Amino acid sequence: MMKTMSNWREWSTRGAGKSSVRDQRDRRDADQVAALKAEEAKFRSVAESLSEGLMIFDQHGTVLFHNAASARLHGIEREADGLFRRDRLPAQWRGWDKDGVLLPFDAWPIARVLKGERFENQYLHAECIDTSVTFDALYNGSPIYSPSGEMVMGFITLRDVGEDLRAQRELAGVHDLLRGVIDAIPGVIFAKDLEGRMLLANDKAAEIVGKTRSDVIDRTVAEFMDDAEQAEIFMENDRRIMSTGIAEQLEETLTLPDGTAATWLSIKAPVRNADGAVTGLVGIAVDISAQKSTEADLIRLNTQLESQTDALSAANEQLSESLLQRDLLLREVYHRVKNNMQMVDSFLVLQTRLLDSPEVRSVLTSLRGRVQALGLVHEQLMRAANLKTFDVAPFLQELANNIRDSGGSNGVTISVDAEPFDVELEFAIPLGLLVTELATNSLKHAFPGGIGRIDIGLSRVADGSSILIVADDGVGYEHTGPNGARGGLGSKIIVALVRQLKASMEIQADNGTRVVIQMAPPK
Amino acid sequence: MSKLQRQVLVVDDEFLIVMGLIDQIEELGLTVCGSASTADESVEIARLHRPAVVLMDMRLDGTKDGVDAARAITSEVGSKIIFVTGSQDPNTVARIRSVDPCAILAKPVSSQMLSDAIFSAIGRDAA
Repeated sequence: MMKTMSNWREWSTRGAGKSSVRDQRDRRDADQVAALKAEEAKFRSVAESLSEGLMIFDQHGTVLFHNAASARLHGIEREADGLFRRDRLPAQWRGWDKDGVLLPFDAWPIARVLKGERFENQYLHAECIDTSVTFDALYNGSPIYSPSGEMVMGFITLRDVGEDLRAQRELAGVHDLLRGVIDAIPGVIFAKDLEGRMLLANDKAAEIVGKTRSDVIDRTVAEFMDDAEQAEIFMENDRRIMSTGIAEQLEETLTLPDGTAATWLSIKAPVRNADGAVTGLVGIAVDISAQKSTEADLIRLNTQLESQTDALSAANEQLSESLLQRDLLLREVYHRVKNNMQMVDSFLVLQTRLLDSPEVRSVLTSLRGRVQALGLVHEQLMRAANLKTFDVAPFLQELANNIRDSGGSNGVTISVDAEPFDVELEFAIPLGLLVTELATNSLKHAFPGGIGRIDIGLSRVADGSSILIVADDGVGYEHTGPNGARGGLGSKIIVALVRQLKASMEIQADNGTRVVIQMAPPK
Repeated sequence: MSKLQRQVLVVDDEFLIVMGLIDQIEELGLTVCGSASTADESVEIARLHRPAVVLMDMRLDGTKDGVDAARAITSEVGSKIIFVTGSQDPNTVARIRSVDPCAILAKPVSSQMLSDAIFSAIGRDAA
């Protein structure tokens, strides 16, 4: 390596004979000297202001002149007027050519000039071993000949290209980074010119059409894609974006090399030059097939859900239709029950009329009362919105009114104090019949004078059981049976109903007769 | 329009019910001018006898119901209408009220309620 080292000191000390120029000048007359000096001064001012470095040397290679740019580049301390201290010149240099090969001694610019070469743009990366000064320069060089054809001097110019190189390297770095980014991105990136030719494409862009990058660069999709139909759609989209100048987000379909159809979300935007004219487009695209399939699943699920909802609504409709039917049927049944009761009542009415015995007539009349009580329960049910439960309080009130009206004695008042709560048929029928029997009994037997009052009370206890009280302020019952002087049907009915209601009955003589019936909660 | 007779017309498609009602009306000392089981029949008898009161069932034989009959009798004869019906559902009740009856009695109807309704329609004074 050391064999290519250039030794400037060697060159500069060899030029001991430069006095020959001065000897020639000495021989001229003073005017000529003055003229020459003026010329030299002009030359010097031009040379000094050059941005390029200028070195002049004699035929032996001894450097006669460094201009300011050259001295700066070489790291040479100059004294006035371009002179420099030869003893302090940087001496040891190494140089490399553009390929990074160490420059041999005779390839250095001054050596080439001394060999008689003229050259331009020789690149040299120089490094001074003594001072660590480095620079990159492009050299021009030429020998200068005397009129007699003898080389008397040579010069080289050198232009500092360090900045250019750094800029180039930076650019290359940026380019590499860009290339790296483009290829690393998990999507497709491309740029096209106005005709749709690929100016730039990453590996992925070529891969998705089953090509290499060199297959697609400078070609249009119509040229490199296998599916002409899809290619035409792409071209059409591109042309539209470039003609409108408006970026678009598109979903494009592309058949992959393995034959599967992929959906790509492409964002394409026009590229403009400095004048604002569209010169092409850039685009990025990502494969959204997975999302599309999820979306399709969702849509399918949604459709399924909708159809299930429809089925449910239909079922609901059917159900409410059935409920409507059930309501209609129930009303019909209640209607018939009441009609039949009216017919039973008719039998009783017709039979009563044929009987002379007041006792028997009275029996039939109390039978009519029982039928009335049953009819009243059905009437309440028919009025109820749900046809199933009804408020017990107005029912008892109406029942009491009926009993009083059928009793025929205007001197007896019947009052009802009932807690309002909903009851069903199963509870209301025995309750209504019980009240009918007890109140009718009081009417018949407690008031020989035809004047008095009957109090009917119904209240509910926390556990759901309820207490029915039927009390009169009459003469009290005789000891032949519970609440009925003659025993008979009334007593039997009362005992049976108390059992049916899972109730207990207590009869108290308390300023008249007071019957307390405690009933288990309805099921 | 000539004076109404102190008589009662009974309209029901169940013959037994008609018989029971007639019995009870006669017990009250009133005269029954006739009975009908269809709307048209009832209108015809009402025109003929001009009863002061008509006991009207809701459901009748034939295509017309008690409300149809009541409307015709009210406008042509002017009799007071007392409905005696087994239907208490809101729709039916609303339809009955549209012809402005004197009373709506629920089957099975007690003698007391029947007599109260009839006498409040025609007054208590003896025939």
